[in-house]
Amino acid sequence: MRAWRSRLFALLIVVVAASLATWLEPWFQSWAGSRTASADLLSVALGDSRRLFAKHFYVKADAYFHSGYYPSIFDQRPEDTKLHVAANAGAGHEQHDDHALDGKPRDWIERFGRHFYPSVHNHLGESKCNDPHHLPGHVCGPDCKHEAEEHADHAKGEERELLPWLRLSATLDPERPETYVTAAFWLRSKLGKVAEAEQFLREGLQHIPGQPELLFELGRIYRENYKDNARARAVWEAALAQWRKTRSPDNDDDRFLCAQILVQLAALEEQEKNYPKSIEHLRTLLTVTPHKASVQNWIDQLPGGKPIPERRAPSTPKTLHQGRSPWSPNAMPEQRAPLSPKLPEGRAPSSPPPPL
Amino acid sequence: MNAIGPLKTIIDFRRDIAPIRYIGKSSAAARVLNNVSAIAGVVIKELYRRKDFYVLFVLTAVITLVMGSATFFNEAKIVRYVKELCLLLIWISSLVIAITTAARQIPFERENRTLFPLLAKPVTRGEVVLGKFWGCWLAIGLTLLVFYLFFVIVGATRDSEWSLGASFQALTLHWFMLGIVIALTVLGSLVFAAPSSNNTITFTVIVGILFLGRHLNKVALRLDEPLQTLLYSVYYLIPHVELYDVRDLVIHNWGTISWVVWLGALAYAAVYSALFLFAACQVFKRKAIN
Repeated sequence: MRAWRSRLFALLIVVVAASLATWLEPWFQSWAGSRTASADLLSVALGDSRRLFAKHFYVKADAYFHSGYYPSIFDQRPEDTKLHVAANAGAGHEQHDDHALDGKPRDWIERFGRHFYPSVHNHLGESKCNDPHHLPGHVCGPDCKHEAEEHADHAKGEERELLPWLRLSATLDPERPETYVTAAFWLRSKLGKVAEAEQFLREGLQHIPGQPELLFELGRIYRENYKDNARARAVWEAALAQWRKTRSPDNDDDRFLCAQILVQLAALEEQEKNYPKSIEHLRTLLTVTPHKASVQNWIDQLPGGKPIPERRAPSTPKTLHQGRSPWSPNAMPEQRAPLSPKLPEGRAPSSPPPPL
Repeated sequence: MNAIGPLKTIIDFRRDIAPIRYIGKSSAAARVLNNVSAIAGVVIKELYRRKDFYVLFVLTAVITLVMGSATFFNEAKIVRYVKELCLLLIWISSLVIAITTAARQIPFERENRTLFPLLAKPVTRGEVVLGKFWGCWLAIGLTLLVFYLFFVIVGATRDSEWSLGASFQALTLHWFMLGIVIALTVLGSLVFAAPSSNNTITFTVIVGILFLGRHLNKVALRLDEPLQTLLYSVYYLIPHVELYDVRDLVIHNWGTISWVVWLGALAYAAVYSALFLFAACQVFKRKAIN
């Protein structure tokens, strides 16, 4: 009798388990947190932690850009949007002091230890001089007595070393636009791999459609490398339209991006001798740039460009999206009020990103 | 009595150990050297009979070659990530081999009861400790030589800007750093109850120093007294094994370190190894074997 009771109890448990499974399975399939829907092995294995690794590898690319000279978490580190590798690519703001290791060594161990790791600020592509009479980490500069060409040959194409980390970062987090922009910039500008740069940007656009940063960089490829002004214009105008839809002019990075797009569009129209359009872009640029004088000067030099008298804004809107958006194509000239934007110090939006 | 004839003795059960020779009182140093090298010979033989090294080397080689065969954006000359990966695997493998090999030496002699007949011979406890250290250090030196040979071959085939001097410095610094690790592990094997606990604790301490040793002073300066003094004292007392990690210099082609600095680093490692070995000898002398 006791044996029968045990068997019945086991059967009951099996029935309850099967019932629970039939109830839980559909719920699990429709659950938003389920990773089974993803075909990507990395997503299944790592989940959202892959973004953390992606950021790590992106920072690793910046460390490679400095030839291993990089502050630890115990030193002052730059924000990831201000990494030099991105700043040089135009995907962030540059602030050159942020990578400085803390001044003088604090004790003899630290002084001695600095011989064993890169302790001189250096960028990939800048030549390091390894001659024995120099200390380790000596960077070839104006005082160096060696032939500059000899050093330049060594340093040529070193930027390729960034690529594996950027590729890995993009694989782990395909929705991070800086990775695509940075990789594309180095590919096309220093390594001459324009087709690869375009393909990588298109890959990025598949993951994050309409991203203004990617469209802007794609436009630069069309204009600067393929000399295809028509496609460049189309892509930049799409970038500007996307910017208006998705970005806020209150943000420094967003304003900087907008200024970059407008500068490129204005220059392109000027080259195409489409001066009214160029002036229109420059007048829009006036609303976001702190360097109004130089932009105004540019306008004045264009045929048909007349100095615009100072106009008092009826009221300065806090954002560009408060009804009277000057970004709206239908906005009246009176409504294009200066917005007192402020770009970071030392960054001239009218100039393209500085080459190394 | 000055010239006693060669006394052939066996210090281990294994028959392939070199005979110990000593001649009179005047050559006590030679006798110690003979004893130490005889014990060291056994350790080296043990290393190449075991599979640890082969497994780790093959793993390192396979991972490096597979990763090295990958191409990114049709750029064939990318090499630094391969060098970084290869050196990382070499560091992990060498640490694992050094710690596990050194940690099991004396405890296994005790477990197998081979320590009693060994000490019954004219071999002192200090010589056993020194012999074990010397054997492990030489064995890991041979291991490193093979690993770095592979690293140099991989790097030289892909990188036009290759510095053999930097690789040599990296190898020697790495080897001397492992000397500290082995001496510390031998000391640990006499203090801790089991090789497993010794492995874990030594590995944690060494990895901790590798990651944090360089920054302890910065952390200390942010603390209030007396923690600041305490942490700064720890900073001065610990062996700074992180100094020997010159991977970034090798990977990014920073060239060679000043040879005087290199010599200073080797001397620093020798001092710490000697300190740990002295402590190990003292502990072993006072330790009841059974």
